[in-house]
Amino acid sequence: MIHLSRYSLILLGILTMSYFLPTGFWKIFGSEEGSTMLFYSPLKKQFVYRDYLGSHQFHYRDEEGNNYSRAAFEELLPFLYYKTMEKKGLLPLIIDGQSFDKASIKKGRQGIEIKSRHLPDHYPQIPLYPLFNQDQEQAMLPFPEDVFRFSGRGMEFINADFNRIDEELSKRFTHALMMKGFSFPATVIGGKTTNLKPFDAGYFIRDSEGAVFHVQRVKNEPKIIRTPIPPETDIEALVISENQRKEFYGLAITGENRVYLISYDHYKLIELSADQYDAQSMDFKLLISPLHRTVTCFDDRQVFGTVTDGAYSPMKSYQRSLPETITPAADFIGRMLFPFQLTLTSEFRGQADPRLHWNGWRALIGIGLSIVGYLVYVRGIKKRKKRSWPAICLLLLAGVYGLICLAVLPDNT
Amino acid sequence: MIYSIFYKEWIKARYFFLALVCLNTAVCLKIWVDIRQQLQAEHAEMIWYQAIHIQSFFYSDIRYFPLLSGICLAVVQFVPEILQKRLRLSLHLPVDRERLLAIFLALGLGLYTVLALLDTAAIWAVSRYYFPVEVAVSSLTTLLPWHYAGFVGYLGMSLILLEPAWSRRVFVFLVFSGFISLLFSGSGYCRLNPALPWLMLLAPLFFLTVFQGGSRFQQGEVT
Repeated sequence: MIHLSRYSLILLGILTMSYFLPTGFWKIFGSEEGSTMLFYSPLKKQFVYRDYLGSHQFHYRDEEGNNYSRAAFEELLPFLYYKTMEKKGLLPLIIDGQSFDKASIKKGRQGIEIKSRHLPDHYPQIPLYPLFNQDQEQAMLPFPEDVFRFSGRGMEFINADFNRIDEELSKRFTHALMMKGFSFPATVIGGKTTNLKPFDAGYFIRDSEGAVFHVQRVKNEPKIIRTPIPPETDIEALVISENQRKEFYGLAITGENRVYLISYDHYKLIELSADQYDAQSMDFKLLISPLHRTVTCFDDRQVFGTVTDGAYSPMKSYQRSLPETITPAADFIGRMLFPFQLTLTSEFRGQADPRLHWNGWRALIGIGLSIVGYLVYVRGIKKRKKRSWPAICLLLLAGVYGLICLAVLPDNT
Repeated sequence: MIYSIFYKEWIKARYFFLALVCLNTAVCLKIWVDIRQQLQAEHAEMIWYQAIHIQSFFYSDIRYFPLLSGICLAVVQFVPEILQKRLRLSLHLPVDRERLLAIFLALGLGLYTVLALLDTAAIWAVSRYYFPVEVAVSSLTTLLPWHYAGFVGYLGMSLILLEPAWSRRVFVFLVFSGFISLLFSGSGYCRLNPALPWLMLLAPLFFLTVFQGGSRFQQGEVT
């Protein structure tokens, strides 16, 4: 029992140290992750990027590696920094023979970003949603007094004042959905739950047979449209973003990591050029300017960009690795010292994501040094002749973590 | 004999336990009064929106009370035993050391479980009364790591009090407090759900660690 108790404490010590020691090490020796923001410059006709190197250090460069000052970099992206252009008196702009003033730039801009950690199943979400009432006579978009949910039998509205199901409203919406052929329950629900938006476009809801329905509440009555989106499109996420341009409702992401715009033109799907996109581990960004659309997706190693024309036909692609912010010496020492690392978080998840990272062959050096250190201590200083095989096994498995445990918790039995 | 030891422990802890029941009940009452007042003062749908989509849950006041309760129970059980050397006498009873310690821990953890169930039932009842069932269910898995922190806190404090050597005490403190800090990391509801099964698997190890402390206490080892 005493051995079991001791090894329990050793195991807990190893697990706790494997979380905190590497975390502390990387915090001290430059773990601040580098990042790259990739844009397409309509003036240079090439990609330009801003590298963040940590410690408030930035590089502004183009594809050819030319350096720019921040001000010069912003001038390469006049649609993005049009307010700066205006302050400098550089508007209207003439690009490719077309003139762009402030109003036309403003009208032709849109941005939408999908962070992996905000996708369904990547963060804890209570499946209750407010369905805003669309009423042209209302200047504001007031919050509805109820939230809706989908069950296997229908769409249910729960009134917040009484915490009770509004049977009448639920019946009306369920009936309207059934009339359009909705097969309960819903499998994917997409909509913007805030009223901080220019107008409400309702929700896009995928039923159990794959059909996508556009569900709105107009003057407290259901307005349901069965979209022509093919049910066989394996949609796993629907991200809706209301914008005054009214070109598309939002994005649909499939299980094969294809990304489509859901257009206002009869819900036509427009595929975006993002072959490298992986919804599990990448963030996605679509930037629309009056001349181009730029799709970028990035994980913790690389960033990929594709620029398209106004009709979403790809024109040019570019990719680059994210800048290294850790010095090779710190990287080597860190990997050598800590054989493995436990992590609980990931920038691509909005909830815990427990993982065990093995630090590769360099960890073997640290393990070897730990064994040598232990033998020197035991045989040289403590003058013990007997080898302790369990201790050596522990060091083989846990390296420096095991060494610390053996130093603090010697076997005194 | 076992019943007698159990009864002795209960006699020792009962008033402190009742005080902890009162404290936890008071916190739950405060949570209830606060949310009731909020729902009267503001639009209910906005409170729901904050709870569901902004993830500012109304029961966050209880966050550290399970840990506090666990630590207090360990202090109440073991400090008098150690300061007045009563544990040494108990160790001479015709019950083996591990069994004796297991009885101590069983009573402490049993009392802690009653407190945890009391808090959980109160939060569930308030959630269920004012919010849809989905919110009430999410409160259970949000509370679980905090209750687990109380469990680990109880065992950690017990081990620190039993352990005679300062170097080991510091090590135990760092390991247990490090683990507990993970249970409180992040914000928002159900954040630790994917990791909870793994973290819960370690519970028997935390329980087992105390027995070496008991052995070292009996032997009076200081290295």
